[in-house]
Amino acid sequence: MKVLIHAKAAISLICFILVVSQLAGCASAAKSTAMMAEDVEVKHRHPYSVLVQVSGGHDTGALDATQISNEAFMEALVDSIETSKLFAEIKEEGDADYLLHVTLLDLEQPTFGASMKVSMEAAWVLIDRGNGETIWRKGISSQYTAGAFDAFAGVTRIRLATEGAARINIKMGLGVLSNLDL
Amino acid sequence: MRSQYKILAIILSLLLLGGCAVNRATSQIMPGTDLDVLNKFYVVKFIPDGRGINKLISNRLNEMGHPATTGPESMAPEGIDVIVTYKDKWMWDITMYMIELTITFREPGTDYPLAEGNSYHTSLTRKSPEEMVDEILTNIFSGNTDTQ
Repeated sequence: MKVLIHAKAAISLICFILVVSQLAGCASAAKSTAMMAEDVEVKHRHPYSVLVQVSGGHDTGALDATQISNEAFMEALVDSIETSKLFAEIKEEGDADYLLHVTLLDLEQPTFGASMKVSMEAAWVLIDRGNGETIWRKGISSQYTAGAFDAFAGVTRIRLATEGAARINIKMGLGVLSNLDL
Repeated sequence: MRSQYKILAIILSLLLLGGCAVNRATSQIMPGTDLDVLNKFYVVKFIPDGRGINKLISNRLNEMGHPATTGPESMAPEGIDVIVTYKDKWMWDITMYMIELTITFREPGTDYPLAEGNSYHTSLTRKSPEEMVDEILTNIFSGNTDTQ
């Protein structure tokens, strides 16, 4: 009888741990508000309109770690340009003086760990829409580490680190863009 | 007691099935990049790679008609059109297998990424390194951007 009670308790405990571990493993997508760069150092403000495009992002699947979607990154990028006033006008479609296209590339995330370091790379291109000429292009790499005490759940720390890497990427990209003399 | 075993069996099945078939193959070609004009490739050996993936990539590029050589970054010859970098990730599930491979074509001198392909296959649908190299290079050169 005693053995039976212990077995029941053990099975219940295993079920509980499995359910909790599964729930804890549900990743959420990177949020645009957390990826927005608020403190961009702007050297030159450009009195032109810019069309912004983002590609290469992924939606976060049920079994994935946090991913960055095109929509979320674009929203963060547009908000960052607006806040920094880097361009006079921002468009998400239609005519504009310049096209800024950002392609999200390699997103390197750890599987587990106390502090989580995420690295990412994005290809930034600025095209003059008047003549189709590529004015500037650069691969920008960034990384961010979420500390062990930033969040209890590992998946949350990965999300924070992913958002941090994206935020730094946007800050670096806009910083270099502001150095251009258009 | 029997019902608890059932619940445990269901949860274990869900966990096992949940991880059984994640397949992802993507490629990106940056705006303004014309792969047709790029001829000579140099595959830079990824320092942690002890399995010779650089040779697989170089061999496959040659088979596809794109002259390629490989070696350490410092030995890249003059007159190369594309520097090829890669990262491989391996997992253990009864045997070691490559779970993910990313190959990037870069502009010599600036390191600007011209194109990138990624292949991700979990254990039950694992592919050999040769197949993953082929999948990525085929996707990049054919312009396939996303296959699941």
